[in-house]
Amino acid sequence: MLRGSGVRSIKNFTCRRLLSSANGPTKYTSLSNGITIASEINPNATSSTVAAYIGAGTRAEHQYNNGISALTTNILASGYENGVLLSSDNSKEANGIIAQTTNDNVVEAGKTIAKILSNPTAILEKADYGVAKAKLISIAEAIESNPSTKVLEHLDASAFQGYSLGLPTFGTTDSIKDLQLEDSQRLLEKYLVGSNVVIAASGNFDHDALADAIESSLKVQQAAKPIVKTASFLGSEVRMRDDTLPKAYVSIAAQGEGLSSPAYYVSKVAAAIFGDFDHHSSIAPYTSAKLASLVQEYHIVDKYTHFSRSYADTGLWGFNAEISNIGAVDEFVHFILKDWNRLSISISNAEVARGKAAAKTALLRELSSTNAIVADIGTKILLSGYRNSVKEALEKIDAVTTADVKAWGQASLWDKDIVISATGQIEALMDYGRNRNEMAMMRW
Amino acid sequence: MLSRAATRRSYSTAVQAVVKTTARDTTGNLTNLTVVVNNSGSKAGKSGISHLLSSFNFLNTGAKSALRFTRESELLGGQFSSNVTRDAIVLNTSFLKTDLPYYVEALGNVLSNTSFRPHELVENVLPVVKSQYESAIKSNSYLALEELHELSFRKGLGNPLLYDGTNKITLDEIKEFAAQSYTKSNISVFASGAIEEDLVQFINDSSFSYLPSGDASSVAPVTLFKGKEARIRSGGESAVFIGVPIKPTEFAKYEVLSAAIGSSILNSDITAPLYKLAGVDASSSVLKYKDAGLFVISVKGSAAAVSTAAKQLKTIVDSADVKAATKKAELSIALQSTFESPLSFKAEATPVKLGAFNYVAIGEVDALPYADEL
Amino acid sequence: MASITSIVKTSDFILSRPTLSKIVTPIARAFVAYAGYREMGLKFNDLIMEETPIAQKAISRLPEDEIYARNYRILTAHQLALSHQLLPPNKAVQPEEDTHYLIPYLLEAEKEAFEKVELDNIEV
Repeated sequence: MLRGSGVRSIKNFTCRRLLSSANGPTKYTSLSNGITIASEINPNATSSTVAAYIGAGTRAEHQYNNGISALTTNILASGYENGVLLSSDNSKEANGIIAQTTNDNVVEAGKTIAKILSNPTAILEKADYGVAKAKLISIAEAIESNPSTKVLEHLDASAFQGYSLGLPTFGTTDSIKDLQLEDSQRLLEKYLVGSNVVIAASGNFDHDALADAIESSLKVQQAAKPIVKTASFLGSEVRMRDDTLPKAYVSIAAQGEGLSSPAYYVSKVAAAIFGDFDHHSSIAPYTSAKLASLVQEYHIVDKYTHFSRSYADTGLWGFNAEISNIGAVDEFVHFILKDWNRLSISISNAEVARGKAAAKTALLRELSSTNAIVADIGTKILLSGYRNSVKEALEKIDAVTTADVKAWGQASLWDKDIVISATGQIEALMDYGRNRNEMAMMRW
Repeated sequence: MLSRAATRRSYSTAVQAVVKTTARDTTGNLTNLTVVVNNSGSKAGKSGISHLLSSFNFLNTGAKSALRFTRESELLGGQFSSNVTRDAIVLNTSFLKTDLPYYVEALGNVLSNTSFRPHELVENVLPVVKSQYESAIKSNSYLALEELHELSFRKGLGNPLLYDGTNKITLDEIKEFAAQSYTKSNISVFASGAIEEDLVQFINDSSFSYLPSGDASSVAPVTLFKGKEARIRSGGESAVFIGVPIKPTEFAKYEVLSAAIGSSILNSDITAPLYKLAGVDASSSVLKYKDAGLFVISVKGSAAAVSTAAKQLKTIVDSADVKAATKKAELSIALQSTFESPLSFKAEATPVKLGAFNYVAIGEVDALPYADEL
Repeated sequence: MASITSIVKTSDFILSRPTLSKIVTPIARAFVAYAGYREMGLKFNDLIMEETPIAQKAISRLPEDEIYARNYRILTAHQLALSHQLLPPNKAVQPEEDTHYLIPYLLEAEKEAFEKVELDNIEV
């Protein structure tokens, strides 16, 4: 829709110019080749991170080259040179080449990033694909062998089945096996273009010195921003029953909000209202959420978290739970979905106020490391074309009212299709129809 | 009820805080307020007592019930937790800047006015402590590190980190331990995202001032033991752990050695010798405590691969190029340095030989080498 | 049912007024004598209805020796009821032994429950 419009308009400037930084300490510089450099200066940081985010993840892949974006960035960004530690950050829509260094060495980190972006082929040709592929396969397998992450990965796969967004982030053992240098080159040719790269930095350094260093050594092709493949949500379920696992692992979600959706923060607040719960924490009996006091007394769940995850144009809003009381899976799912119903009809002002406060601090807490800050800057600018300042985000959360939350519930949750993903001992998980029916009530 | 003080600045006079206070202001909207209770980690007192005491934090106090505090805190969006380390009990809170006085008061109450009701031990503390212990011991790495600490330090730093239920600890013992630990001289407060003058005033106005002054409890001097070995039969991943107990003055040179051979802090550095070992997950780290440290090399994986890799460790350490790794170590130190525990030492390129070390083999020990076979 | 908290409050009020206390105390004594639970080996607190979440919580928090003594008294009472007997006066519970061992626990559990209701319905 409006995706990438911000970046496109920046690209039109022929010369470098400093964008407004009135809302916060983030400084933006737009280079002549279309690349945006954004840095958030934090005088307290003990180290700095410079990262190049490329708008290519599984959404740039198909099932036969699934994993190529992660593999390529992992190869480009590994190792250490001249005081700069390289690593990568992989997700479904963007992949980051991360350079961490001491504050005084940040120019070197910028140059390293520029060197990688300017001539990736040289690095790829020298790399041992066998070793890199083995490492990626072990990451992909680690996700599948941890039931909690497995359930989330398959939640995406089921919700966006048939679309590239549904492919696993790190690929599968089968798809990674056949990847080779040419696949990487083909990917970079299309996606490593000025309009599809954002350089984000955070730490205690001089932005202009970094921008100068990057501009003088960075050569990236100019081309139009590649079009992101669409994805559409499908109400569906995937059951991976495995009675050898100790618990039942269940995740259920409805379609959530995209990064540039006007209801982005409302859905975050809605998720925070139901919040997280851990039966084995000393404050479990005291947690505010109604759902928590219901479930803790009868120990029908060990742990759950609510999430509102956003991709460029769509998202998932739901929960992920672990249940050792396997006979109570149906009860837990019933209680949680019935509690979701309340969002549309009877959520109280106090609950919304608590959700807003939790959403605000969660947002601030997420941005607690230089790596987290660059990931936030990089992905948001790439995927939605802009990144609002923290101040703006807090104001938007503050502006959410109980009526907004109810309206969002009625529009996005009430009687909407859900996607279910579950593994472990899930014989007590009711069939799809029963759970789908819980998304609304006959009367209230 | 919920005290939300305005962001008032008081520049008046430099008042001395009743406890040691370190604060820095930040541009963000979040405050991280941490209380470190020194000399009260798992190295102090009966084994496991600090874990029990730590789990009592944020329960009922004379001023406020745990229920009310949790609910109010959630309404403010704040988070709180209490953890035990080998050196200290650490109470972490994070919240919006405007709520500083509320959390200062809450922390003051926790430290000076916790109720220690007998039923809380049974209903809230023991189940939590047990579940934390049980989830920790599922990890072979945790078990091996615990054993390595015991071999290297015996008592004190060698005590188990968590309460394992072996020795019975009564509520009165916990209360007494709290009275000894929660004293003005033991406590340091760190606030990131707060104005120092405000913080000091809030602390002095809060129940922090009711804490007994206490005398800097004298901890027994640490003795380092080397050349010990333990083998633990266990399901799950096989691993060997090498540990060299070190003095605080040696942290700098061991950080450089760790960076040179492959540090767990710089874990994407595929050029390091430890990361090149085939088929295993190997890394090194320097665990830094107040009075001593432990340089640890770990090799995990299948028993056969671990066995082969372990025999190369001695060569890797002894041939480490520490000169070339100084800059790398500086990055590693910068990455480990936090506001609460800043690392002030500089990397020091002194060649180190492995020498005498402690050794733990865990997992399928039949296939793992003995210390003298390395 | 009136909460234990309100009953304790009322009795404190009565005891604090000499006139009221002069009227009510003899009636209470007479009630105890006619109720006859002491001859069954019970204390008054043993008679408080235990089939409520609050009473369950309070009983679970009793010290071990108290809970043992309570169970022993209840067993004794059952045995006496079965065999249609009463304890001889020297073995019956003496007035000074008839302590309110459970009341403090009930009050604490009720306070928690009341506070939870208050906080569950908090307005902002």
